[in-house]
Amino acid sequence: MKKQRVFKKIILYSILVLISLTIIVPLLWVLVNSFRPDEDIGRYTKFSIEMFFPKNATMDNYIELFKIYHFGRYILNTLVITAIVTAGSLIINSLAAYSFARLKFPGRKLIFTILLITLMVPGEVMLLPQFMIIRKLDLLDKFSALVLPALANAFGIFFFRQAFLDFPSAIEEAATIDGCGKFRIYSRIIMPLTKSPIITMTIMTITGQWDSFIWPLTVLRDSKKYTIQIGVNYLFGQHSNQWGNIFASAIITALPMIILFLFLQKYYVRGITSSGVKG
Amino acid sequence: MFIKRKTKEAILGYLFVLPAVILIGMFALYPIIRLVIMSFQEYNMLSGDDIGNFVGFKNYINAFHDNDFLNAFKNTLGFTLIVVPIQSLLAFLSALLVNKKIKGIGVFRTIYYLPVVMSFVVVSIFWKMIYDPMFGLANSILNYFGLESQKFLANPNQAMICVIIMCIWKSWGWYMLIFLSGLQGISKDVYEAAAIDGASKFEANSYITLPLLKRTILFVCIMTTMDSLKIYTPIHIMTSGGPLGKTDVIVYHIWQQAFRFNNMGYASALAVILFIIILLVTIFQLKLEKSDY
Repeated sequence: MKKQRVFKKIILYSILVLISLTIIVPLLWVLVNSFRPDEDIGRYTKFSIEMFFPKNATMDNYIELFKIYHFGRYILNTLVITAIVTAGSLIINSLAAYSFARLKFPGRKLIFTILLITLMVPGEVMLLPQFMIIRKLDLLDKFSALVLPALANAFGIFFFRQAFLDFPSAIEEAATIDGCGKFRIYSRIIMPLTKSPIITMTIMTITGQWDSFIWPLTVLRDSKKYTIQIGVNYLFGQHSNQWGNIFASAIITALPMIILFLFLQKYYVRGITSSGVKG
Repeated sequence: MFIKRKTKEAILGYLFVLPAVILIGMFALYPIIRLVIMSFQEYNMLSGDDIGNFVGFKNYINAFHDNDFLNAFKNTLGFTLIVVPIQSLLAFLSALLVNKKIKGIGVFRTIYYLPVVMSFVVVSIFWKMIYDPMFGLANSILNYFGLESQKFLANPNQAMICVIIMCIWKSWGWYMLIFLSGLQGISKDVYEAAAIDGASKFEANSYITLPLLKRTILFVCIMTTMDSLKIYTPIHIMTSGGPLGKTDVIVYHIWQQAFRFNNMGYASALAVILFIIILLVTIFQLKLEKSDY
């Protein structure tokens, strides 16, 4: 009986490790190649130990990204846009959500429902009219073209409203009796007490902005304004034989999101469970 | 005094939703209406015109005679029909695996989720390199097992399969976690009762787990279908729709029509068609959710 159990465990771990290898081997290969000079990448193609240990390891691929290929600028652009969108959308969405959850005004349900309609239309479909509007507003090639459409969204409002509805209203009633205004209740009581949903939403916004591709690709032409994903894509398209730099650029682009995930894992899981799935 | 407080609350209510309503109205609601109007128009994009000429249903009629669009439509459908069952099944089976309470399981979950936190751009570039016929990892592995080198993305018969493998590699971890959270919602008592009644592990899974997870299964299948219908980035980076149009997909075709060939009106009609397809999937989902199937 005991023997059988040990045997089962060995099989289970073997399967788990085997699946892990399909993920780790490609990642390791990319990582190792990002430290190799170009000519070495074409040399070590035999599947062996050598393939995964760089002999003439060098940081040049990474240094060149910043010295020649403007990655410092791309990263800075992305950070600025991400910061503005994350802070702005947090305030705008949660304030609207608080109003929809707690304040009574005529047409509340109707307005909320109309906003929710936008959830049914995917961004890929909206791309064309959004482009026309941005062009009409003369915002092409400007950061505001990336920021403005991202500042408010129905999902964020829906998400925060759900969190606020779960919040016991007794505390608010007590605060109202003490003469606390609605905005103070929102900013001093509700927001500080909904920490976990705020962190979850913040992570979703940050990753969404950092990974954003098709929209900046559509509205940015000037390479000085490029965000990181567009920058990688540009490097990949324009200098497709600079293998080492391409490997390094992919690693640099992925790394911040991997680090964020490793440190804040539990909020990622919460983000999944809160997206409306029930078993 | 009482009425005054009520009015004040209503004014504050409107004030708080105002910024969101203006922004969503401008960049999400108005564009929906605008898209439908644009789909009945013809634009001269190069002269910077903002208003097009009405051409009736011409764009829609053209769509059904446009062999490239029909090809992209067919490819997208094929992509979806392969990805949805395989990816969902992989996600479900791996969720069963990582639901086991054994040492180090958290590490495996973390590893499986890694591709999900990398952007589609990054993963597409990774795999474009992996598939490279000169120095790519894929051929190294094939050679190691004594198999011949392949051209992968350059081979019309292999390109779409290569994109599919890459997409599943990137996304299954996300659906695994969704299944996992569904599995953890099932009470242990049910399994214990089944074990007492003499049910085997396999029986327990097929008669307890599957029926109790049907909502999660439906959710995963619908989400995967939607994602597949909207696939864009890997095609843009890995194949540009080639070779021989074998990997051209709907959104890629729309983007090319709109921003490379400046056929904004025609591209809008194609976008409306895509939207209708996605809407039908949504309605199907809502219907299934309401009925207790």
